[in-house]
Amino acid sequence: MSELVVETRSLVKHFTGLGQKPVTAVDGLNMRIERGSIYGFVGRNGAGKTTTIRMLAGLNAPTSGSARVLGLDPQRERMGILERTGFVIDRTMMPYMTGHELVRFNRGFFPRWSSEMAKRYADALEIPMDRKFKKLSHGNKTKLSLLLALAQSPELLVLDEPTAGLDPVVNDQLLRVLVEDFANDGRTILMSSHHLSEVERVADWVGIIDHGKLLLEARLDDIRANYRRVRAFGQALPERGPEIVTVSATEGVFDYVLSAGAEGFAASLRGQGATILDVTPMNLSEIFLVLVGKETHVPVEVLA
Amino acid sequence: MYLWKYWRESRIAFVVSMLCVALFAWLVFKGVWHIGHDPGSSEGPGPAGIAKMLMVSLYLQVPVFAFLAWVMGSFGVGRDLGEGSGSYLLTRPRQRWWFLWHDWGFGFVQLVWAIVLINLLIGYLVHRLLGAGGNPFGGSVMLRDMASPVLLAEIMGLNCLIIMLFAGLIFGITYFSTIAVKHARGVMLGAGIILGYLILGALIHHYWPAIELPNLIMRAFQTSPVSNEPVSLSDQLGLSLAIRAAVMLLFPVAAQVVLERSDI
Repeated sequence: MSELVVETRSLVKHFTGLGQKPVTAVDGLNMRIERGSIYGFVGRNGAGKTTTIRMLAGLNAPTSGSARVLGLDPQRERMGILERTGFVIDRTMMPYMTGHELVRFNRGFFPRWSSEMAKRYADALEIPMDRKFKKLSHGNKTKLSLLLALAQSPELLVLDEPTAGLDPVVNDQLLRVLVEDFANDGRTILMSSHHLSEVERVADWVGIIDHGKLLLEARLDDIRANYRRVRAFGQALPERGPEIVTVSATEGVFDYVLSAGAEGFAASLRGQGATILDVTPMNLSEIFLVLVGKETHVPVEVLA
Repeated sequence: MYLWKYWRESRIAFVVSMLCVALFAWLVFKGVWHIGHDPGSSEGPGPAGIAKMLMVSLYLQVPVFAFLAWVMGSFGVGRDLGEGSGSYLLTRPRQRWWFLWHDWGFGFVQLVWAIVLINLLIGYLVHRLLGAGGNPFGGSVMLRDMASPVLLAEIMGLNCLIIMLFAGLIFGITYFSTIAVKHARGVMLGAGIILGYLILGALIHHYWPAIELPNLIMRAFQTSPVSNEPVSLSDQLGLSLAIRAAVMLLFPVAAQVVLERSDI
């Protein structure tokens, strides 16, 4: 069994305000991330991704449940986690510091800091390092945040929506750095996003979260290989079963989404007198829409 | 490196404070001289004038350092939380208290530096005045009616301590407020707390004259109503200093408790 770098068990986070009802941001989350994987953590805005990441960083305390990062507890053993993990969460730094000053400020905290790597990424990503942080464009702020996280030579990189609001060129630059430079060394990336296409491009594991609950966690290859849509025409066909993720029926046409065993399931429907209209593979966007219960013909990127 | 960050944030305020110190020294030299100066003499202020000078210079420092401490209290983690860089800062591998006490310590050291400098200037000026007058009391100053000479070094040392405790209190309250509000705007809350205390003290004094809230400025010397009784150090001065130091430290400790328990 692979070593887990992140593991949460029944992780719950409620937010309470004076005179307000508690809001459940994370609701019994069980997440497992293997060493060396690129884990795409996807969900709609407000699904609980950022809160989960903040709990992993020790910024927020869980209401209940537990989390382990690199085998350590984020509340009690934060130092061990922060020394070995690069967190890019808000991408807002001291606005009055230049890129060079931020590099100088940062390197004192990390024993494994690589000045050579910082310089290389600054050149490769074309970051104007002598400009104050507040004067940088959104893309350059993100690139600088990533540079600082990478130069600390972490074992684990945790990125909260790193590509949000970036133009396609910068987006491509960042994803290349992450996959070709960082992950190729066998290090682990946890990347939250609501851009399913980019997750599909870089991730090998995916976790889908909605309303604080993890609806799916699987290897992307397994999802591609096993998730199928089966449409069948018949009467009184089954609506429950271990592989049935969702089912809808309209005028005798049953539309199933199955997590596995599509061929066998289709055969059993035929045995019950149904006519199989089609069995089609599904991409991540279609699975996401099915799981979060918002299936429409609007593209996921727009929904998100 | 973290201290450099605090310096980077506060250096303008610090430089301005040093300019204030220079201006203050000049005011002491020009203005306070006149207060203590005996117009009939060409040799400078007499013993009573020097005592008056010291008193005025002490109370003139109060608004200067209250303002400076209030401004300095706005720097550090509270400001970072307000500017959205809190999650970046607090994911550097240090405990939250480490950031907080470095902020507080470095800010307080800057205040102490300015306070010591200004009081050294005043002390030097008075020392020169004593020398010009023939130093009749051997480096001491007559605080009242020629009855009780007190060493100048003792007065200046106590003045430094009094102002340090006062400025530290204002600084701590303001720093705590920025952490509690998670924004540099907490300085307004800090100012509100201090003003509230002063108003409360005035109201209590008005309606219940027997009750008196502790003054924000500690009294180091006491005088008796009998004019020829010697001036002496206040009763239990050490205890009083210790209590005020504890109260001063209460605010960064409270800020630490709030910060440790906060979701960032």
